Amino acid sequence: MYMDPTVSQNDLEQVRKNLGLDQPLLIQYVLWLKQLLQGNLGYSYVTGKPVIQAILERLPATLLLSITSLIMILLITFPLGLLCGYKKDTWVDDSITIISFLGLSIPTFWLGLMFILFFSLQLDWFPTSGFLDPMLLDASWVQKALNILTHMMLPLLTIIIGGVAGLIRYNRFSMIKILAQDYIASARARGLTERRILFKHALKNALLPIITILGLDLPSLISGSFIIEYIFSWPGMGQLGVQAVFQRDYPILMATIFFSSILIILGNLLADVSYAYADPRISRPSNGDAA
Amino acid sequence: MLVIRNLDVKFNVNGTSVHAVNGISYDISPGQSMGIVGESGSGKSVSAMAIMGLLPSSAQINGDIRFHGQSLRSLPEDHYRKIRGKKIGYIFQNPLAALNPVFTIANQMIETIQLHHDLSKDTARELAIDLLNKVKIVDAGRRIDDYPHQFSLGMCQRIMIAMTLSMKPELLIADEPTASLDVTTQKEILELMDELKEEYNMAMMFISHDLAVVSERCDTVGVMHLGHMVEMGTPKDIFTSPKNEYTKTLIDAIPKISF
Amino acid sequence: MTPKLWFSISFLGGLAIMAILIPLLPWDPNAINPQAMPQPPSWRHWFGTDDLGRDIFLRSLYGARISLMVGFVSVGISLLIGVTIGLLSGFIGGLVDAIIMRLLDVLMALPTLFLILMVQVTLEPSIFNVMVVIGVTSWMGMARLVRAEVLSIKERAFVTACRSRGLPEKTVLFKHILPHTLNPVIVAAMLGMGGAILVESVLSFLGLGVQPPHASWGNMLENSLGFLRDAPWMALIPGILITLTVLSLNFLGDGLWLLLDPKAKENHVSHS
Repeated sequence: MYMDPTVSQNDLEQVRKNLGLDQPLLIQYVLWLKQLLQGNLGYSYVTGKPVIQAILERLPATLLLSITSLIMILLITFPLGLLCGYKKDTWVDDSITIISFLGLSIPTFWLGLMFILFFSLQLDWFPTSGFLDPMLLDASWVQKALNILTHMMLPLLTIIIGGVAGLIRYNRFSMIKILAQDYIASARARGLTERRILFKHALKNALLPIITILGLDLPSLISGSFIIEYIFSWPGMGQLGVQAVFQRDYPILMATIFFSSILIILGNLLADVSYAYADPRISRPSNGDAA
Repeated sequence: MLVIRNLDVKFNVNGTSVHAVNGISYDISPGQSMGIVGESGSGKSVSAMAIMGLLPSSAQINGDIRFHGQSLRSLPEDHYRKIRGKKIGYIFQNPLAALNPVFTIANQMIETIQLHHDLSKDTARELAIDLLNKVKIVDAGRRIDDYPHQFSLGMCQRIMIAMTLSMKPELLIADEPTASLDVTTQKEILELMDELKEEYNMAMMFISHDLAVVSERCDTVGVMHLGHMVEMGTPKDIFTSPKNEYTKTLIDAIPKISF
Repeated sequence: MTPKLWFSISFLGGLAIMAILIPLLPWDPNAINPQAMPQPPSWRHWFGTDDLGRDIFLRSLYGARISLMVGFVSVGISLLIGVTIGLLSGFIGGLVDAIIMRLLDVLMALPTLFLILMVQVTLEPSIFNVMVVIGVTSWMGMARLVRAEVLSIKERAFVTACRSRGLPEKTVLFKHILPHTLNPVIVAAMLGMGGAILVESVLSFLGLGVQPPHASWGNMLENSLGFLRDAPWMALIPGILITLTVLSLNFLGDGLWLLLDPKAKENHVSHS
């Protein structure tokens, strides 16, 4: 904790007592839980302001980045994975596979730095960090939105590359399994075109496993976005959290973990529900008829 | 109608060459039914898939496959597609696996019907329901909107048959159509297929491991073993005077019930 | 032996050999040259120098030592924990299994990187606790894999045969079942090493891992931040090294998987 070295020992003791820091760790945790259940997330050690306020201030930015990146990841992975599975072992498949391996191996924070280096510093296409140009505070709605978009490009790109790389292997694998199924051969045997088979019969079946994988991958996607927010100074919950780590601002930290866990659980729940809805074998269980 | 000469299929699996079909030849005339008997690995399914042009591109096919005099092997893909289903139909061994689990029966049948006939969606749906009635699916009008997993295996096979019939093929290849079914269902499906074959005047290639089933209904029977056609003839000939050792073992393997 | 495998083995092998041998040479990677400025790569300094005049190639090799060590030890720890728990959970089954699985679900739903950050901030960051923390937060996937294998092996005939010979349960589990679970574990270990190296680099980058002046690829990157425009090689090189190392580990893991798992070939082999 940051402390003023001139503070006397007595005052120190008093502050400690006030903040409840003289209690053993476990008691502190239980007290925190108790407060949480009462809707009180405590106050920041650093700013003194209520934690809930800080979190709510930051939530929109994080949601904007996360949800946009999630959607983009899905939109990109799905067709690419399908393509790979369909053209298995051709040069298309091999090159996309190598690129996806690369995407998995690059440290995301370094990728972010390299983007800043290249696109910002060298090419000056995008701003290096932040959310909105402070000079545009009074600008029109559209101008603001566009500006935010330019700020979002690089962090978005960084998250997307990692996310796509991770997902594409699974998608490809499930696509390969699907294409080997009898109902695909049966569709071919009825004279259906390859296009229809791919885009109707295979696609809908491929949708199901990707929902599951996305749900499972959510924790690492969210963790990763924290670091990216930090690197790009994107004013989201992640950046708040990482700063709080350095500042030892525990109330903020606990709240950040709490909220991100909630986001993860919600995401998983959404994935499960979507899956149950999309897969007729679950939404309409068989009623066991006789032949 | 269908003429096969010296059909040869090799696969390259992990560096080794598998000789799945080793130079087989036979003819099928319109309305005729041919049975192909053999164990797993005899090449019977592979040869049928070769006729359909549905083998993976890693397969090396040699020999002649002619349908109405036209060589199928030299057909470009879009022409081949017009033959599949419309002229030559295929019924799979596992009927539930042959139906797409995420679409309704209506969806899949209407898709097939509209592909081969110029009909509106409603007309196609009516035709589908008619066909389902024909294969004795109860309450077809309502059940057509159900999903494959909501039917029993026997009903799935009926649905497959209905779907194939909607295309009115000249030749129907049935690859072990009753292997996944229990005995009573098997009998029903076989009887259904016999009726429909008569009614639609289709030629049929009946592939099975069961010599008895094949002999009951086919004009000609061919026995395959390890990729070779070891014997061919009428069921009577095969049973009364089998020439090949393997055929003899197959015949002996048929359980005889005596009291 | 595909080109990917050749690359991976040569790169990792070469790196490992150099990393192991480098302390035998008398050069000090932390030696500061007071009047030095960052110099781009040259014949004298293969990777150039950083802002304190230190040779980057030398520091990279010392960084490699750190990364490889972190990789091995953390994966070792997570193997130990994960395999044990997976074996027990799968073998004992019933309520114990159910509880452990739910626990796993909860643990896997936590944002681990963030938690690691928290832990590191609370303790004195050092390479030792980096390894332990990574190991302790990444065993869950391993446990799941092992448990799945145990469940499928448990029912096989040879297990029943062992039991009918009167072998004690512990022996059945550890001597007979365990060896068969190792295939996916080896693959997961390779991939886990890559992951561990990535996490260590993030931690060191944030100042929560290996402390300067000791060289780690991560803290070399942190150091390069102020010089992005003027000395980009300071940022490029450690990042490229991390990428290539993790890439090689991923290729190896994938190659091993194809080798070890008979079903992985995904070939269409037609039925009769």
